Amino acid sequence: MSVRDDVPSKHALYTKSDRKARTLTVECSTCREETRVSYLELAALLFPVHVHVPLVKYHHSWMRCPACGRRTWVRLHLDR
Amino acid sequence: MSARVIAFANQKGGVAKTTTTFSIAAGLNGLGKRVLAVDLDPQAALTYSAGVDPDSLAETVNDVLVRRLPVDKVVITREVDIVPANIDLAGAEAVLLAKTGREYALQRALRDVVEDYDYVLIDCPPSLGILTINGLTAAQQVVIPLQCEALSHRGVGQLLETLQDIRHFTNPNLALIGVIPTMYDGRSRHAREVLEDVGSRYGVEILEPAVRKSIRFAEASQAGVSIMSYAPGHPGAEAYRQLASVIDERGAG
Repeated sequence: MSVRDDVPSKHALYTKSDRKARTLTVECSTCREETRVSYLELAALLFPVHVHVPLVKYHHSWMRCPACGRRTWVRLHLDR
Repeated sequence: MSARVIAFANQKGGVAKTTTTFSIAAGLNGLGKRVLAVDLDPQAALTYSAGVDPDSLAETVNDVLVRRLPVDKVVITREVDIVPANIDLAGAEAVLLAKTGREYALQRALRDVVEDYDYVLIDCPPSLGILTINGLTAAQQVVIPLQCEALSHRGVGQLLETLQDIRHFTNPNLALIGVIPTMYDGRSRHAREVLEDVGSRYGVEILEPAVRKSIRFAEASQAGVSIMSYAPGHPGAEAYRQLASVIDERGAG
């Protein structure tokens, strides 16, 4: 049995169904919120200074969190 | 070793979901297993059945899901450990719907305690909303309590569709253990026909023995204990002990 494509309403309960193109999710180590942002919004959050240490930390990027507004360590997900 | 997480789900109300969850929890506890029962229903019947007044609680599973309070801060120990609920949980649906990763709130929360238990049993609400999705996303296996009466098969069909959605979107390894027949009246041909129909129509396993209808279950809930404690020699207690053993064996391999 496959998932029916003709019943999108109930699928609206799932995060995956409201994923949009050219967005990513910011997972904050401070407030623990996960927030979806566009690439343009990401650029604003990175401004004026940001740090990235891939492979070293789980929350590998230091930037402003869109949820709590603090500069803190976050993890960026392309697909969630 | 991590706990086996099992959700008890059926979007139809009044099919003995809570009684089954609590009784299986008590049955597994009787087998020497460490059990955590999670009340995911805003009606808080599991909390009440365990002898806890839901309205007296300051912090519940709602705070775990919405405020990300650690699970161990809300656990109450009775016959088994309970993560309680109260009516506040009704608002969690609305709060979670606005969040990314909303399906994973319970799974994330349980990560902190799965090493402390052999079993985590989740009593899902009688709906197919975001709370049930959280229960099914956090679980490795599902049990469907089924009242043996007409129209029950419709609920099973809808739930099986939801399980497919869950596998597609959030939890590809979710497995169905089977159906537990509840409120069974062996004297009526109708009850037997419903079970045969569900088994053959959907190809799901009907776990045995069936649990017969009895006022003793309501009395046990009123007393705030499981049927095993309230009436250990009752056929209903024996049925749930056997079902707990069946479920335990399903994870042994």
